[in-house]
Amino acid sequence: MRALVALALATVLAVGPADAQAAAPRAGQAVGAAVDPALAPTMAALREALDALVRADRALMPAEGTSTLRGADEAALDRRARARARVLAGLDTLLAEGARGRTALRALAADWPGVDLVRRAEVRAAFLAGDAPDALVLVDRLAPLAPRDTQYLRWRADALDALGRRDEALRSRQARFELVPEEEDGWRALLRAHEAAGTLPRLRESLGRLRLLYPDSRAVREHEIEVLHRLGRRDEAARLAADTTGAHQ
Amino acid sequence: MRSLAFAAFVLAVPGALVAQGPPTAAPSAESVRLAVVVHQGRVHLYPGRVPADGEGWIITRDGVRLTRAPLAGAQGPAEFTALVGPDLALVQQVTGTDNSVAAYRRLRSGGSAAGIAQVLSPRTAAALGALFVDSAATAGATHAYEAMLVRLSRPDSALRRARATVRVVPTVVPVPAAPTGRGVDGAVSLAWTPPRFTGAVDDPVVAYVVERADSTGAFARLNELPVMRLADQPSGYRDDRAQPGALYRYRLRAADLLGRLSPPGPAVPVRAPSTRGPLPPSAVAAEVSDGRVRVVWTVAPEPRTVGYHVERSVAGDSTFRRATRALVPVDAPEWTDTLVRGREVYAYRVRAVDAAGLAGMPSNPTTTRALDLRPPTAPTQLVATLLPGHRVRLAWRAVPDRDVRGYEVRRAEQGDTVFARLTGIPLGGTVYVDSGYEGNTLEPGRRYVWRVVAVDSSANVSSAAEAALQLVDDEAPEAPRSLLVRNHLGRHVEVTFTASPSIDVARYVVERRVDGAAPVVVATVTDGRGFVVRDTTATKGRLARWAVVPVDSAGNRGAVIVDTLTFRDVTRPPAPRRVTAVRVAGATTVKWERVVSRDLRGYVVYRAERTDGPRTRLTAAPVTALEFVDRAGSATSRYVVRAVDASGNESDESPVAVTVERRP
Repeated sequence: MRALVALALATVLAVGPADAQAAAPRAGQAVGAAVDPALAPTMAALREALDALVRADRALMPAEGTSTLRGADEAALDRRARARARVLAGLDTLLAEGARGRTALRALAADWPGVDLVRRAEVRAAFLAGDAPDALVLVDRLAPLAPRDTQYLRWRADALDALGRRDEALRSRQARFELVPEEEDGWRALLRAHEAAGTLPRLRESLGRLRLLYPDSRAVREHEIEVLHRLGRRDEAARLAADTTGAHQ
Repeated sequence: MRSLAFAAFVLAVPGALVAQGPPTAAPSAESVRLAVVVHQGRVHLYPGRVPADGEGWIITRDGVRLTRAPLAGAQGPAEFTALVGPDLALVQQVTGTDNSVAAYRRLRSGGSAAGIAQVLSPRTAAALGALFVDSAATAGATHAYEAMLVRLSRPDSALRRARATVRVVPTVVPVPAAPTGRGVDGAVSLAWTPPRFTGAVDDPVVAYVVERADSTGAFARLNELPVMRLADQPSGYRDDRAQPGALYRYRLRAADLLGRLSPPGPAVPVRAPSTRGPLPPSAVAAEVSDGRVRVVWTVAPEPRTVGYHVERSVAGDSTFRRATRALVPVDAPEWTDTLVRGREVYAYRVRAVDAAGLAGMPSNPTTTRALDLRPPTAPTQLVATLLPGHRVRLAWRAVPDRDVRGYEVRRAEQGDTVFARLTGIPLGGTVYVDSGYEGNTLEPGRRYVWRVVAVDSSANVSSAAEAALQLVDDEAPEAPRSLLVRNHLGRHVEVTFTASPSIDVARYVVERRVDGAAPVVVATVTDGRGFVVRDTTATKGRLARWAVVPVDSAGNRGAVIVDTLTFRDVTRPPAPRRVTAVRVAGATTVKWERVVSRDLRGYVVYRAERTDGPRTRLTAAPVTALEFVDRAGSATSRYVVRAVDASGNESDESPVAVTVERRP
């Protein structure tokens, strides 16, 4: 089911709605700023790659369907993979260019509003520039299209943290963790946030709740054991560990 | 899951999908029909079952075998993966697995997952040995195909047969009708009703694809995986990706087993709801404890969420009602339902609510059965009232517990160690009339104790309210049975009877009744003794009635049973002696000597003309005197006398007395 959701999200983002693409002026954004001519070759290659990527995506998800099945065209898959690699390389190049690259990314995002890779690169550029307010605006604009995207939730939490909005950041991290409790990065970030906020007991309660939601998740139990240890509740931790490993049997 | 059912239905039910051409004869019990699709001159044959390990399908056309070896599918996961190719991801989705080995094993075990995979992916069907493509069929011709499932070790063993008569003309996927659409919970909900499944030649549709376009643009497919056709049920699709307020057009395409799509059906315009609440929690679970159900869910990821509402449905009803009055705080995603009844099934789902008060679509529900280990409160004020006909009305005060299912009434009587339950199912009311076992009323004179307990929906039983009642014995016992009165050797009268069916008889009074005299109590018999009485005081030779009267513990005299007997002595008295007959002046005086006998009643005199001649009885009744005057005798008459006792026994004859003439 998770794979289905991810596939649906990818589909949505690939053909994103127009209103999500309409970029309003944002904090720190130089509207109409010109792209550095030195980046022109990179931009040209990137546009070509983006064009190939979109065309490959459309080939794999036919608009006028002729079959119930997704196209099994190996060549189309290969074209898409190549185009994606080229897009990623181009975006990374722009990200490495600092402010110039960020300006170029904005221009690119305006031209390719439906390509998720570009929008994400724009967010990353904002973070690299230390522009948390703009990152938050970008993420909040994208997040409604994919509210359960864990990367958006992570970015939103980072931006909120940077803006000093700790409670909101904590909630975003909590939401991200609860979507994918096995993801180690999300867990570590959440643990650090709770420790910093002095709310480890609350984290422990939420882990107890997650044990009901994910009864087969070993990670949730291990996290709870770790929190119990940090709270000094070693007996409870030992009991839970025994229950998890079957040592009590 | 309903789609799984249909997939299994299509491929497993005889005649679910039929070939081009006229209907064939009904298959035999072990037969199934082949599902057939003709495309580009090739005939695709779908036997209705994935061969198990060690099995395979043999395909014949017009009696000519087409498969050199039985069609057994991939031999192992590696070959299966290679055959399935790009459809592997789809197969893993269908089987709920994350690797090809697990998917292969799952499909090999058959079942609905295999049916679905066959429908969705011809490659998978071929890899499972459940699809054969005949490329050498003659276009326009009619062929008879047969698929025979055999054991690989014994190709002559026919485990199952599937037959179809096929006319090799292209199978056309019919155009579906337009769906209906409406906005629900911020999304667009589409529904359509496929035509009733006939399995006929023009009904090869197994799935649908939904396409959407904005008001002017081109149509684009929405669902990568098709919506499976349901057997005679409405199908539906929910478009969660519609932009709020946007106007869309939706249309359908039908798909057959090969995945071929029909031309699009007519489009319908639907406007998506202009506002849309937050997404629901991704996971919801419930934990049951005594009298409570704790519902937990994941934190809503959307920042505009300010809280949650929990909705509940009861007893499998699909109607959900809001269970929370106030919003559940956004950071504390759990709620405990304390208003549950034990053993009842509850389903909970959660909606996230945003700052504008707009609730989003509901989560998937989680279902649980409530637990209740606490017994209900005991009933009070139990009152037992005697009703006419030896029935007792019990009434008590209802208990206030919400989950009371009813009341049980139990009864015991003196000597019982356990209480018998009188009510098969718990009573809904607070009144019960005890009419005794099977309605045969209670036994008068007995003391009964009743207990009433409350029973809740979890079958917990409260402590008991108790009441007792002594029933007044106002009912006479029934008469004894089988009374027999007989003369015992003339010595006494023996009265024998069996007990009365009434169980409260305290004693039996045996009476002897003679007309004109007061009854005489012969004996009184209690239960502890045998029912045989000797009456040694009965008068012999007199008709009497012996009656047995049952008397219960309350002194009620019951119906009487009577038998009649004339008590007689069977021993003859001694014969009279010294009988003389003296004739004087034409009258003969017969005299005899007194006979000593305790119950002598008298004497009977007989006359005869010869000693051994016939006797003529002269006294109608016995005479008690010791002489008798015969005025009708002659000088040659002879006389004998017999003694008679009270029982009518006559003695032997006395010696014959010859008449002696005496001159005056």
